[in-house]
Amino acid sequence: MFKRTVASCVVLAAAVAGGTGIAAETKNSVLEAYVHEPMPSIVQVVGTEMDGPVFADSRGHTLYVFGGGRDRGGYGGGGDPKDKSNCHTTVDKVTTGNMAPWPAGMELPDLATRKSCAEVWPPLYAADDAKPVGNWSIITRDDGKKQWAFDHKAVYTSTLDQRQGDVNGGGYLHAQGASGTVRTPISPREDLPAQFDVESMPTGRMLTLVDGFSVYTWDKDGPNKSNCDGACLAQWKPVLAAATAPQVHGDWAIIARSPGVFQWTYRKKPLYALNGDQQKRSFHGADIPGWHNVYTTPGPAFPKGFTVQRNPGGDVLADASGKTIYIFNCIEDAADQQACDHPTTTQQYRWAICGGFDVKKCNADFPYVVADKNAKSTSQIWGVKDVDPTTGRYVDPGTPGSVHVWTFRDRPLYTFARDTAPGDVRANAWGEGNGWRNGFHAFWVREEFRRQF
Amino acid sequence: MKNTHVAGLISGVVALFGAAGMTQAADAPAAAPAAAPAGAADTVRNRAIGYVMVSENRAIYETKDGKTECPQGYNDGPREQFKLRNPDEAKRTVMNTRLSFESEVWHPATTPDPLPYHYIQGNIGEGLNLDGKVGPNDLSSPLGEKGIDNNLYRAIGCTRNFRADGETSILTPQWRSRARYNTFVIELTDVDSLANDDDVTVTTYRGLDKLIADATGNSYLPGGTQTADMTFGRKFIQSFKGKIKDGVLTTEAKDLWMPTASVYDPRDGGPDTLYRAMRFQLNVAAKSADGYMGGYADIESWYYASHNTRDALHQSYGGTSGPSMYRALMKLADYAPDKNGVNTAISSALNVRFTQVFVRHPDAQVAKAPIDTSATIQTTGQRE
Amino acid sequence: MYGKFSLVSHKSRLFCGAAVALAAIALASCSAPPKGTAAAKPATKVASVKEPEDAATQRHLHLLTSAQYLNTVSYALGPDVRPEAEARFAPTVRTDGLLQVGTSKAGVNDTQVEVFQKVAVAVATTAMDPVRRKFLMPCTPKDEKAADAACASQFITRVGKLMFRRPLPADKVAELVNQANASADRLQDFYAGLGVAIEAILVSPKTLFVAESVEPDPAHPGHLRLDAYSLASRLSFFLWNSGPDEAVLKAAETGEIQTPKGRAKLVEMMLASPRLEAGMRAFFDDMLGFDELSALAKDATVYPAFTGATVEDAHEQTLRTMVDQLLVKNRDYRDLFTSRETFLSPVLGALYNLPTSSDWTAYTFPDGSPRTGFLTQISFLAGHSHPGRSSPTLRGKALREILMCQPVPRPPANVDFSIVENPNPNLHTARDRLELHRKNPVCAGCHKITDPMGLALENFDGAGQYRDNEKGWKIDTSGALDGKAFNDVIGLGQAMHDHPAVTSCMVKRVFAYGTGGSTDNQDQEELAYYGARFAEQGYRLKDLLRTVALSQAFSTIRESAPAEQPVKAAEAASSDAINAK
Repeated sequence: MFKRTVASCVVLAAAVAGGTGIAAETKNSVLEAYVHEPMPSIVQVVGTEMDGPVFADSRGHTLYVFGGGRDRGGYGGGGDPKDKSNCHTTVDKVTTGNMAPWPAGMELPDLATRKSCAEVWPPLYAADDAKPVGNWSIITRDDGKKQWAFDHKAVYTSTLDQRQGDVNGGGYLHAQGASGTVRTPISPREDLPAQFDVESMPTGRMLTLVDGFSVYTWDKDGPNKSNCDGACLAQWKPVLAAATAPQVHGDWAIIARSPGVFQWTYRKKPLYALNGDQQKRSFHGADIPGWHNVYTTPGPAFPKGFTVQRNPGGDVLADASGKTIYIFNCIEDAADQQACDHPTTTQQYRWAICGGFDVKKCNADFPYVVADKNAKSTSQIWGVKDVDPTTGRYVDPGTPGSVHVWTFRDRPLYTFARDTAPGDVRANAWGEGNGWRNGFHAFWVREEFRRQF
Repeated sequence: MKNTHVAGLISGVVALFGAAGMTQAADAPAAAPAAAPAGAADTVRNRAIGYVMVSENRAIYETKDGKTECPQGYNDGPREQFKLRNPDEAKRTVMNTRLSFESEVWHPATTPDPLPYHYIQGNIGEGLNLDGKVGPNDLSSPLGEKGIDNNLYRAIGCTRNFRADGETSILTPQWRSRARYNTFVIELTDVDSLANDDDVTVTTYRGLDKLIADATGNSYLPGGTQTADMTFGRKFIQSFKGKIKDGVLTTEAKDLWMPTASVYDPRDGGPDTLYRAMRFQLNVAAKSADGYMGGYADIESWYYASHNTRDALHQSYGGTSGPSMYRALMKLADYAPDKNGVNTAISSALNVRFTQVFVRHPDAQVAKAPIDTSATIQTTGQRE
Repeated sequence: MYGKFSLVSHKSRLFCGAAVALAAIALASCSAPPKGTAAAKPATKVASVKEPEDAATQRHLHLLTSAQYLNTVSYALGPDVRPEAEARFAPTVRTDGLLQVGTSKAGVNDTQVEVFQKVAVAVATTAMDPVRRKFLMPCTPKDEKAADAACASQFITRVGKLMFRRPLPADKVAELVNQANASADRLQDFYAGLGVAIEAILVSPKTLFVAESVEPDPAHPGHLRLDAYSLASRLSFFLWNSGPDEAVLKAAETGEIQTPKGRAKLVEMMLASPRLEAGMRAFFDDMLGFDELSALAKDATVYPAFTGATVEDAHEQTLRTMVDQLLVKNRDYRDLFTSRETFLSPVLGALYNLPTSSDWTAYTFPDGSPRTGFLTQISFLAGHSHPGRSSPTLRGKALREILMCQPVPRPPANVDFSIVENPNPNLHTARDRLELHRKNPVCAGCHKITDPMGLALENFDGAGQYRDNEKGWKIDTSGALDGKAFNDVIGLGQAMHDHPAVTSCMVKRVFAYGTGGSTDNQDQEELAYYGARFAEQGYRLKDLLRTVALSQAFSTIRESAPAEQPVKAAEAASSDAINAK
């Protein structure tokens, strides 16, 4: 009996009804408080769904810097040095050897259509009379043009961003680990007490302590009133505040737990840490009835019909049938380290990994996540598009032979044919560099054993 | 002997903790009871004893310099094959080198290998007699035991990564002791004696707790506690009937999934490794256990787990070429034929060491109840 | 630049030297059983015991410990404003069993001044960090690039009061605001200017030293008492190991603290506060000598299970046990020696050979277990052993000195330790070796006092792990404590539980810790009073704390000559040091 039940228990399914009930109308609104600091007149701050407030150009297009990836042992390297742009108008043609064990000097794929870095990442040019302001400075590019820099890093937009609030050039759930050096959106500082931090998670912008451990709220507390005493305190640790701090500051307030002992509240909910929480950005406290993780901004709703499936690594996003959803990651071993994970870029990397260059096999082994004909996204980061499976390119809606697919950050999503039971993640870390450099990673909603960063 | 008083699979320690935690003094054992004989197995409590794996290696028999079993030398890895596959330096491109090789890694073939590959020579090897027979192609142990089935050794024994000084051999033990995802626990229940007992049950779990390093930093202490993962790790729960004779535990054979994630980043992995007809043969003692786990490695899960957790760079450190290795595995596969008669698993053995732990079952009700799919996932709805 | 601080330190040493008289009640001779103190007499007819009419203590000038400084700073400016690494004040000399008493003998040298300076800079920089200050400042300057006297004044007044532990006089506020303004104008940065003023507050001797001030006691004409703010500080450092908070200062400001009713109400509030736990942890840390655990190391080849993590958790285990037993459950202090209730961590589980949860968990050892009382916890057993072996002598000595306040003389310089240290195949156990050692009459006297207690703990090796034999030889744990014989550690625990010196020692330590000075003959009647009250109230720590905190002696000052001079000189030097920056 036991054996039978074990065999059947591997998978736990839970439908994400209506996309978890998260407010859909978050588009472009800035929900998270940030520190207003001086910035160039052509720069503004816009809200995003998963990356918090970001800096944007006058069109509202997100601004990025090139760097912040890992520079270790042949894993990446690159990025812009201080006060200099390495993103040129010439087209890089050969590898740099940054992605060991492969050497430098080899011709890159699809050279005929490869664009220059500056074409894909247009620099944020500064007017001739522009003056440095705050953390913003002005650098001179190799061609003599002026470019804005933020914290001494050259600033760009992405041609993948079309609307205000798009963060298709990079961001959380994009290339990490052994991928190479990624582009990251730049943001104003969160307006938080120094004891706290915010991390983008698939479930939203999670509020944590500055050391990364989760904070929680409790249903039994009242508005700005803690009811956690006695036995409750054996498990939960109130997040204490300074005696001299003002009582209210935006979403934040301080309450006296007892004479002389002060506790932070956020949006009127007293905050706690879980004693013995096993890992950073943990969900464990929220497994206890009545307790919740805290988000400054809830994550956007998952597409209707998607499900969440449990497996030994945590919970993954899955399609309606329970098949795990994968994201394709790809970065080229070129000096400009362009991404190769989008339908507008070369498809050769993906063909190699998903089907051994056999496009038909690729589409069979890693089929797109097909959307209903009338499917609509309730958010900006999720979308539906038509793709020509023989080319991997987006095509006009209704084009014969095209597939109507779900996208995330404007990239198609995939399942894996060899995943047979809900929760299977046989293609997690599939591909080069453990699936970060050129390959697939499951769309984790909850990572139980994630690396502590 | 079968315990007729404790119902259900999880005996012993469950009763110790109960559902309420550890404060029930009445059920607790003496810390170090004066009544216990000196040095006795006081780690067997309520007829149960647990162990956590501290080291796992493929059972690879090696002679000095490897010249006996690998007379033609060791296998080439990605770096060496890069040159063999593309001798003309001027014609090397990303497409015909890196992507060509990687496409074969992820979509390996069973066609004849155009490049040289070295198999183990001779018939000495470690492991277990999995099929109960002594066949002409079986190995003999260094001590002369006949009938050992370990074709995985034959397939990968001349690949440096898997030998004692290879990266995999150095890192694999760390997978078990350092990466929480991979923590592998066994619990023996219905135990009357660690010396001789004709009916015990061995249950495997993924453990959730850090192993406790000793003061030297080179080993792990007995006496720690491991929480059985009953929430995410149910895939790894399997139970085996077994017996202990003269301190050696042997069990029946059953399919077993073992957690397999990268030691560098537990997000890299998750396909895990399936062993068909796995069984234990361990020397069991109060503070430790060691010996073999033997079974037929499911080639698909074994092969992909080894690549999902270690990329081409790491395979290069130890001369491991995926495309060549896959061919070797399939060539020597000797179990679980598919509908076309092609074997899908290969005989293998793991050389394993465990240290004693107490196994905690966080919710006895969950452990005792039939496990079904009704559990609620708490995560995604928990937002402000 | 620091020249004047040297002067300060010189004067503070003079002050301390003159103020304190040591009164260690040492065992007069190891040839006779130790005598208890006056308070060690069984508390009979307790109801008749009243506090002596002339009860008083001396006033002190003492340096804040690192912990007291950090607790006060982080209380005022935030739990994350706690520069532990920078705030490593020089260790004080343990005096009469307590470091806290030693702080009143601490002088200050140039190196320490540098430490004070560095930690002040760290605190001010952190507090004025753009992120932190937004959630800390009660006001926003009109212009961040210029001085703003009104806003600076608000913050300085508030922080200064918590750090100085009394309101700043108007001229001091003005001086600090001027300092902030001048710096803000010079640096064109309001917050940088304010940071300079905060530094000045933090390096001020009024922050770093607790200088108790006195005033005539209207209830006892001709006598002195602590002034309200000094009493607030004495209470706060005693019970919370931190400076007084707004509520305590308020009680001082209104004078409520000087009325019996007001003081009682305040002390009740302080005893009920969660901050009492931090205060009592500090007390037990001090009393049990846990500062020495940080340097505790074992031979890894002998005790591979004993690691740095073990030390940390063993320390925590004992403190958790104390807090749980004495504060949460309000148990009889003596039960600490017999209770089987404690807490376990995963790391400790490996040494206790017990299952644990993934975090700290309450655990009760079953009846019959040799783990009874906190003497059988690893912190005590391993803390009073050698790196590679147990030590009945060190353990016995610790029992006498730490828990019974009975100092044991050091061994003579010419003693031959070879018998206990060198392997001898004919001496199988520690008992065998010590028996032979005691044949040396020079050693016998003291060992007779320590060893019969220590040998009862021989079932635990130098790492605190249980054993029933030493290299195969069964261990005999029989022994005696001042005439009371026992067979094992359970008997030892009971003997300690019943011994009057155990409770009298606790009384003595609490009193000395709370009032900051050594006890001497003048205090014996007072100690007897506390002891009697302690007994009458069932030996509950909270009751003892209350008794001491509300006692006349706690607030009445024995001496009459003021000793303000060193503080004033130190303050002047501090201002110079800041201005010289």
